[in-house]
Amino acid sequence: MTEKSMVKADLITSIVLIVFGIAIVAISLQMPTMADRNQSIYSAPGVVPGFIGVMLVLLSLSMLLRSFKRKALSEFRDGITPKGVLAQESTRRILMTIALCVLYAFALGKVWFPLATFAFIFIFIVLFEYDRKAAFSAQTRILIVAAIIGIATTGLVTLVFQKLFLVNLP
Amino acid sequence: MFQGLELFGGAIVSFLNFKSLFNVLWATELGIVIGMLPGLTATMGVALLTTLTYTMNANDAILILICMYIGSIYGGSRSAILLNIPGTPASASTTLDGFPLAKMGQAGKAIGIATTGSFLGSVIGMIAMAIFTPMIGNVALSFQSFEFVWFAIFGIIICGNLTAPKDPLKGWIAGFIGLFVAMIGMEGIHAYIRFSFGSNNLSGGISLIPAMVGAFGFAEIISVMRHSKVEVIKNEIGRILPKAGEIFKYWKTIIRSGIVGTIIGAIPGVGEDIAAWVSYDLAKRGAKPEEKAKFGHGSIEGLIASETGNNACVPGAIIPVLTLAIPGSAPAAVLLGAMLIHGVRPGPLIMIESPTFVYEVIAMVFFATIAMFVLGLSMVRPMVKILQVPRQKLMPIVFILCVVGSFALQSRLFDVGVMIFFGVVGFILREMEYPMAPLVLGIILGDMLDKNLRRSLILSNGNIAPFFTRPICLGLFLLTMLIVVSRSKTVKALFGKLRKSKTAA
Repeated sequence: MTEKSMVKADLITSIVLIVFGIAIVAISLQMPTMADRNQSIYSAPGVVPGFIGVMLVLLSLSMLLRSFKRKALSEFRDGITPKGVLAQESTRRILMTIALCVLYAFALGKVWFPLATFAFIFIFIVLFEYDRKAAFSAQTRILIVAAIIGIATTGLVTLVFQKLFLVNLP
Repeated sequence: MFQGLELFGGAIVSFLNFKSLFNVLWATELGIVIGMLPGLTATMGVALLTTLTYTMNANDAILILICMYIGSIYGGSRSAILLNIPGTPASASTTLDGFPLAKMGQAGKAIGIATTGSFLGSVIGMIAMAIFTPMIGNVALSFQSFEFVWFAIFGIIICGNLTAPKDPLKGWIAGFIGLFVAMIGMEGIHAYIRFSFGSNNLSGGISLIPAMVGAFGFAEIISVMRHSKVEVIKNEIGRILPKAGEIFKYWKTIIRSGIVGTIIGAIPGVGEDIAAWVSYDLAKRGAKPEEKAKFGHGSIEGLIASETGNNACVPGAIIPVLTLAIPGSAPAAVLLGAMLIHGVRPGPLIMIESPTFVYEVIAMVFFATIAMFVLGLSMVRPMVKILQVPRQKLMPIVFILCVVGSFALQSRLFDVGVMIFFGVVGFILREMEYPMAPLVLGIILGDMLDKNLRRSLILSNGNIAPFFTRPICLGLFLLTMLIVVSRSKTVKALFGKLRKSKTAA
């Protein structure tokens, strides 16, 4: 991140965190005091979360003030997202990784574990290695290697975790 | 003293059987491999093995975890030297001198020196652990709720300060977010369910291991996948076994780095990466002018300093785990979690309830250290092959391990969701330079803060004076204030002015 986009990010996160902190305090205040059960008011469940909420508000407030000092507002004239970030190769790779992993996790419990695992590894490798310009033979090789790694990992993970270490699988 | 030696001897003997030694070997070697691979950190390794070993008995499981911890912190140096990428954050400073040495064709020498440095660091840390754990344990017996409240706050503040040197404010915010995460679920005094919003899963609380696997495993996968491929040094590895003279020339650096590493390890949440940087920095400042010029261009002294520092940190980080139930680093946090899972109760009472356990842990560190040294100096060449596996083939497998590891402990798919959430949020926070260590420390210390703050307020009937008048409380309060105030700009400016006026006068 560049220094300019960091100043902007700080401004936005500090506001989000202040709202978050206030929400924590508000919810903590609504918690029962346990005084009706003849308990000390200091044992109330809301005491510590309330304290944490206040601290979060104070810390984020000082970050908010700091980002004003660093002229965060004037940075926003160029728009919220820094130019070019979305078009970058690295952003594409990050989003692709997250999307694939989230999809896999979502499929668990619905699809048979070995099948989901094999499909995930296979698609992951193929997507990241796929090269449109490569020769046909190279492309088939990628597919075969990905399939082998997928089958081997699925087999090993199932075997090692379930049989050797007696761990449950999703 | 002699009783301690006796207990230590007994512990060593108890591990001298085929099964334990076999466990030491495979766990340490696996640790080296995990440490070597960028994207797989020590924290992730220990967390993963915690789930794999939870059906074993406590001593076997903790032995395996400690071997994994020591092996992986050392293993990171391998990729730092050969790839210029630290295998774990702990080896970031190792790249500065390790990689230039490898480029000069001295990769083998660098690996040998890094191994010896790590070994000596670990030995120094282990000695410190054997001396100070019983001492701190005895002092901790006099701590009450008031002290533990300060330990929790002091831990967050110092950890935030040291892990976010550029912007401690973000470190502190991360710490308090972590404390908040610990508030979710049923609390320990009235069994009241907080912040669950009616969800059954949330009312059980956020488990530490899935959160850590997310923040240190999945977040790491995302940042590794961001870049495409890297090149492995194809130069000759050369001679690996270092000459004794080459190492002992730097005995001062070794002892200094060992002590500094151990102390930093013992500071709550401040782990191996900071230990390595600080000891590297101190070595650079203390070096002779002709050696100083070599720092960053393949200095052997620099390499020794960072590797001794990060491995000395490991036993250091275990000291507060045993005596106060406060983790000294992120992997130590998982270790603490694992001890609790196995029914061991670390904390001030440990020297009374189970003094043998403390010495058993020291013996475990002893075996792991020796295994790391022996395995580190052998099988170097076949190991280098593992580094040549491209990341897009490795990372999906690592992610599967993250998923299975988060799921295995409680068989809840919710925990997989927690892992994903902490991974994505952790990645975004890291991009904005919020450190993960204070966040995780917060998750652990949250419960301690919650129970002890309320208990002490009940004891004092709402009077906050004891928080500032009890001697240890006062000390911790002053230390906390000192850290906060020293980082504020106004104070810095004031001191700057004073210094200027002094030099002018």
